[in-house]
Amino acid sequence: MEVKIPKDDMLGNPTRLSIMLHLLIVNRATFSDLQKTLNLTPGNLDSHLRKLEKAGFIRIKKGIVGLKPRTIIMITDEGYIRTLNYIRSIRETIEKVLSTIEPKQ
Amino acid sequence: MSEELEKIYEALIKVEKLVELSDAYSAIVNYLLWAVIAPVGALLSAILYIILGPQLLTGILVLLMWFLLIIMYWLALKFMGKAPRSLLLHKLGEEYRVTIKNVKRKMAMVWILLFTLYVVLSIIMPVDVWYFRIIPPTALCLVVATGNLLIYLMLRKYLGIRRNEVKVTIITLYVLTPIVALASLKDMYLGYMVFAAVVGLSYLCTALYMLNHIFKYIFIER
Repeated sequence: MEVKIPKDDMLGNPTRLSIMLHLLIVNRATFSDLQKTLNLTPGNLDSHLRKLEKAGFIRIKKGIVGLKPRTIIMITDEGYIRTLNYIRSIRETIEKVLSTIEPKQ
Repeated sequence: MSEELEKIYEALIKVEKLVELSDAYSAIVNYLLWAVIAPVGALLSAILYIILGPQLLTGILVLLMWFLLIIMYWLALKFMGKAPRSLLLHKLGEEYRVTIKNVKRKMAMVWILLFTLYVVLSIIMPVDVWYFRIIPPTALCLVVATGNLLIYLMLRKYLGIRRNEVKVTIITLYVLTPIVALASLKDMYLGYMVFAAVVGLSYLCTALYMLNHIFKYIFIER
């Protein structure tokens, strides 16, 4: 049985995948919220966000939250579909692998 | 190895379930907003018709007012961080992107055509003849119900999505249309007021139907 591991240059990186998984559920988040939730340094988070923005997965804009200027990160339609498809394909791959392992036990 | 894979598998299923619940929550926010906007729009339409009477200017003003209300709805959704797209994109793949764009355009066209039809009907009806008063409020009720029905059918046909919650809106509106018609017979503006209550109730029922999904997960599936 052939098991194909899904490949994605953007989501193959665990940090970028966790950013996208978080955004998939909350739709949008501030820079500081993402930094605290994922326990990342500002520089590290910034570089991953730039890459995701360039790939069209997210949109970054400056906004006002609670009277303070904040950087807001929003998931795009493209990012929503690609991330959801990515986790689905991983789940299906694991399903196939598990179905081959279980009968032998 | 197998145990680790099972853990990852379970975690991925949990993520997918969370996305589904997040989408259901967005849908609830969307319907609750409509439960407020639709009755407000109906009442404002009635007030405009009372003040100006059925004429072309009133029709244009009513359409403009609905346009402003839709912009307010869109801004409110954006402010709350709830993307209406999740209602459409759930369970869809990448190849559907172009189709989604076309369906969104068709949906907008359906609403524009139906509301234009309603405005034209309201203008040409001789509402000073008592039995013609039934037409404008009843037409508005049927326009909202039919718009929802067409959207439900379009989503099913082009994207294969069955948005069962829309059925609640459609059924409530069609079932309660005769009450709107009866109230309109008494007075056209009474008809509009009953319609405002009916449309608010239908979207509220839809929001409750979606809330049921979240409760089912919290109390039964979890």
